[in-house]
Amino acid sequence: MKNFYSCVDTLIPSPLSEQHLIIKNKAQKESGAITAYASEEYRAIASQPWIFQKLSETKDLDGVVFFTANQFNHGNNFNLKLFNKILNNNYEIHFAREDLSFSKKNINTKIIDYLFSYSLVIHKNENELFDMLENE
Amino acid sequence: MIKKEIYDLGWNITEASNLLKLKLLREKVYSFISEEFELDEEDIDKGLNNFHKLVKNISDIDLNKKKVEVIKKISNNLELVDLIYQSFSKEINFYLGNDLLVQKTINLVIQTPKDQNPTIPHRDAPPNSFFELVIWIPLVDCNKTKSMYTIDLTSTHDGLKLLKKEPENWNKFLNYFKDKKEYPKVKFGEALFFLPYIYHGSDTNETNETRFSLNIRFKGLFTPSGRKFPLHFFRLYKISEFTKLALDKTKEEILA
Repeated sequence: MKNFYSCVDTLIPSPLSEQHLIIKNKAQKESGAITAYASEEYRAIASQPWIFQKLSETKDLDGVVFFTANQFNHGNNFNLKLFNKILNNNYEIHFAREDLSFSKKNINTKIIDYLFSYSLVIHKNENELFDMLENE
Repeated sequence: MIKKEIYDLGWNITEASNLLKLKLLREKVYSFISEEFELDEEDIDKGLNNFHKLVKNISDIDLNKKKVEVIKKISNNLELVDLIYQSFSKEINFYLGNDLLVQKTINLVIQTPKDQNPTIPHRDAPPNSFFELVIWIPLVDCNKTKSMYTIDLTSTHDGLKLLKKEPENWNKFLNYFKDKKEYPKVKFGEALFFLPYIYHGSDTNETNETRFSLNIRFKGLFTPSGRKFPLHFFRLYKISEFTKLALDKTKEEILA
């Protein structure tokens, strides 16, 4: 049985119990259980400074189950540094809502490309496009 | 030849650029159906069109259970998605380019004659991205009420304007579409391509044949999302070498 950290999204208006339920189901699907809970301080969600520290400080964890991959998009870019850091330290990353899983041995680059491209789209400044069209 | 009426009407009928792949798609779908419903009919066209006759001895409860089983087998079948794409790749790439997302699931619709569960005029909810292309693929020849219906771009626009003026008068809104419905005649070998923001639906199938159809949505990778949570609704289907290189470079810059 694997032990996972549960990390909810503090920005979406979903009750924590609802998020935990979906996270718990994902943990079970990945042959594990949630043994620790947390959420990022919402003032720091762009850099997500806390989750890796908690992973390192808590014994016997196999990885973290986030509620959604979108938690990596709260900054200006997809937080690839943290994503890589977690995997490179042999922790698993799971996204409950999207039902996606990653580990150092199981890196699906196609899915990462999608997450990354999605991040580029949502951070795109649409006004720049409209300005360009207007000036044509 | 790629038709461009889609820009005027919001839909067009598109011939498969690879009919062999489409035939293979239909064979595979039929194999799931005939296995589940234990059909002896080997002629696929007859088996699908006469489906309601072939299953008449199955109880409604069992029929529904079996339908659900077939839908499950089809909806997540990646090979079938490939066959859909390969059947219409030229047209899909023409509209959307080479970096593509695809809906995670294929929808299968079975509409037997006189089935009293047609679909009222609707747009998909929660609202889809305007950048999606909906592909409706009949597995049998469809016309009249055996087909789905579409409301063209102008009528959709005018109907919605009416609803905005009188948001409580839902019947007036629906009645407005009554004489605006068009039932495209789509043969097997073709697909209906339509824009997600036109109204569409189906009526009771008044013909004496069953309709089997698939539908799925494609979208450009770098286009804005609708209200359907994109990471849940779509998966990355295809990416060009050029984009792959650019993405790798962007990642490199972020990590530097």
